Amino acid sequence: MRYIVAGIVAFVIFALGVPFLAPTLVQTNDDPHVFALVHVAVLGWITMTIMGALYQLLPVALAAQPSSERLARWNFWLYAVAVAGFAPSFYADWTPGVAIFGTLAVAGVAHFASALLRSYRSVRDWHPMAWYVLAGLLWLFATIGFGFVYALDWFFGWFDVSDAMLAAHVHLGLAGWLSLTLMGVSYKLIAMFTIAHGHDHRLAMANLGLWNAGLAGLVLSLIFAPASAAVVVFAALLALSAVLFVLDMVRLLRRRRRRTLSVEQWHLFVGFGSLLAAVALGLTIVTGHAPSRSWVVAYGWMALAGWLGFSIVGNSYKIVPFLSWLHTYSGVAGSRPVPRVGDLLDGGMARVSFAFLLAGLLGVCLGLLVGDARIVAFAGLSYLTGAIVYALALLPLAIPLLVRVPGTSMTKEGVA
Amino acid sequence: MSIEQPDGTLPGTPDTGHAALDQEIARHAWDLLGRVYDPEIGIDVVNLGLIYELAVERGAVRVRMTLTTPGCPMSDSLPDAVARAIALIPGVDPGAVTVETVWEPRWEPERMSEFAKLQLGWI
Repeated sequence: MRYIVAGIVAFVIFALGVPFLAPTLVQTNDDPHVFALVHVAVLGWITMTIMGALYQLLPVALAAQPSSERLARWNFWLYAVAVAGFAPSFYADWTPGVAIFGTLAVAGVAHFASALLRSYRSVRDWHPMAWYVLAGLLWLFATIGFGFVYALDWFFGWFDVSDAMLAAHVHLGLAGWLSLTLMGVSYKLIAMFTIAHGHDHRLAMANLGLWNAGLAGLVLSLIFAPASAAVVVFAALLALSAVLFVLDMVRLLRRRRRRTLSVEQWHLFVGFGSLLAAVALGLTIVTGHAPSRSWVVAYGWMALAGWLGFSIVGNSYKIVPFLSWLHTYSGVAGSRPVPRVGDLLDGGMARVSFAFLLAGLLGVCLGLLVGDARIVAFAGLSYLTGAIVYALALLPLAIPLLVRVPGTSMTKEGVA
Repeated sequence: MSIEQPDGTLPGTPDTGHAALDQEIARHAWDLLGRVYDPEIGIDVVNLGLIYELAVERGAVRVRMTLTTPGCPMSDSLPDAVARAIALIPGVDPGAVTVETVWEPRWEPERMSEFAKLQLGWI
């Protein structure tokens, strides 16, 4: 749970940085302040939250042996210190800090990925989620490998890191590690929460191959032939795969037996829409039709804050109340009346947060596309408000779990 | 040589009282299981069709149940809640309550009662 709490805090810091850095964001993505902001989001918020969720849920979801809880606890502190030092070092353009904390972050991420890969030895249910998360973990090693080399290069100055090389690292992280993991989690959680049984997974598995082929080709062509048509071809393959994924999600949702759409699912829909928007922007950029560099920032914004961010926020509205319920009521359920998981979340706050986040997402994107820092700053304030309300909705559930002992009372007097 | 009665019991066995008690426990158990909710879906395990079998024999209760999906995060807590509810019935020894989670036959949404389907907006 401490991973998820830290992730929520990092989300608010990221949201705070958006209006604050608006003048820089409409100019360029190639700036230490922007690097700091992106790493707060990617490492501090999204990866931190995914780590917390996967440590808890992956073994259950895949019927595998859990990894060591003690090691996960130690790894949290290693990783948290690394991220807390890494992003400010970027922001201050402090080279030794980037190298030192970057190395610690690599150690933390590598430890997490290794622990989860060990769980895979005992997987009994090879659901598509298992394959997607496995692919995501392998791309995670490639991502941190690139990042590690870049961090050391920042310190030693071995070679110039080109825009294309930076783009390779960004796509490994966003499209490889984060997107594949969230896609896999979506296949499991959406089916489970909406009671959408009997979905044919053949398209999901074929599309996994297409996504990996597109990503591998894109990364290799960005490194070795950045000016070639191969970059466009592989970007188009990746775009096709993204569209197929969204179509498959629509297919899955059409099978749902639980008809009422919850606030969590609204977030997921925005996430899927943002993925399509990012695909359109990416194709515009890679074919040379982007009128300004701020379109590159808009592309990253829709992928990061839209697709990945809204998916994380939506899923955490399920995961955090569920973990809270599990710790608080699972020991007494059956012996006395207990609330439902959904009763633990303040739905009104979740809806208010959604409105502010959505307005912020679209406004910042618009501001970046037209190159107007005032629009980005104003919409960024809306996004920040949404993030604060989100934190206020979830932290009261999450923080007590850091100290609370699970309930164990069971008395005959307690029967309903 | 023993001669079995039509209901499978041996003559002279004082089981009439047991049978009545078992029947009462079973009735009580179904009633209590109707108050054990899947906390995520918000519908009880009986209306969800998760209980495949409930057998009572001389006060010992055995339940065969499933969950809506393998890898369900409730895989431990829901069967525990079922056992806990049954253990509250007077005359039931908590140590004689067995809850077995099975995956065959696999649960399908069609197993839900009309009430549950209505609750979910399916019908």
